[in-house]
Amino acid sequence: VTTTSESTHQEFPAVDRVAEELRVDLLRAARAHAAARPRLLSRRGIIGSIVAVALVGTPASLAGAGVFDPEPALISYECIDAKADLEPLHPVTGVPTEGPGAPVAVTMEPLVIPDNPCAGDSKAPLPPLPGTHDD
Amino acid sequence: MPPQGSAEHLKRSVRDPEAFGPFYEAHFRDVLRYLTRRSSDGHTGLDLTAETFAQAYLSRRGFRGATDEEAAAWLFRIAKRQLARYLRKGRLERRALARLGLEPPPVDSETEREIERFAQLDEIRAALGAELDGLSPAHRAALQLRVIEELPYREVARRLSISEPAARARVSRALRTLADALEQRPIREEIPA
Repeated sequence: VTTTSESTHQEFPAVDRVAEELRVDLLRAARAHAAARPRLLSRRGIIGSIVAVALVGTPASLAGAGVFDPEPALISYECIDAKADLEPLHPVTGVPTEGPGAPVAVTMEPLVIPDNPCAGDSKAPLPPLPGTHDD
Repeated sequence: MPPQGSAEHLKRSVRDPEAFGPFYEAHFRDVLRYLTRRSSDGHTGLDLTAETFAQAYLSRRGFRGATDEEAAAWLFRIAKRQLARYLRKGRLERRALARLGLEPPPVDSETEREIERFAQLDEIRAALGAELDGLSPAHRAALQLRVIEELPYREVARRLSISEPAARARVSRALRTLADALEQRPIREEIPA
């Protein structure tokens, strides 16, 4: 038994009729929904969703882990005194003494070395560097 | 051999919906025949065909091929997916049709019979019946329990007093025998892949 498209047209008028009905309906709907797409997300939509989830979800998860906390509770200081001394360093400043715009000398603030509260006897003199001792 | 210009029409339909018409006309009968044979029902075959073309229209931007063979294969992949969904769920889905606001054409019993004649369902049923008669009683019984009565393999094995792997092997061998026999017949069809 063989069937060809040509014989189908002659022998199956009802098939031709439903084919034509569906074609007319389909094209009418096609014209009305020229830009319609399947409801499934397109590739671009999927990528966009992943990016959106990453943007929204990641900070939340990181924040939950305490990454963004300015002072996470889990950090403990070995030396409590050192924590109190954590202040921003002041930049070295100086004032020109002579000649506007062309200073010839700069007055430096005295350099103060802060005590290291965790180093025991911080006043003890440092041992001389090798090769620098007096003969 | 797929109709000439099929891929071109499908691609053009992205910008010009009217171009979907020639694409539909070129493939309607092949798709209807395929889906009617696989669902063993003219009405279901037509409904699945309508859903397939509605889905093809909605997905036409996704066609990446260039040849008419690729266009036909793309369409049949959609048809096979619709069929698989129907067979799995046991009911028709009309998602794409609903999205386009479409209904499949109404089908009276006479039209349904004609669609089944068009798909040569009677010949296929007769051929299957003849080949079933040619199977050994053991294979025929396994096939009937599994395919016709849709029993799980465990139950097939229990009723035939054999192990489950043996039941699977019998059904598999019976289906292979039927498929080989149908391959030799003129109702064999060529599905684009």
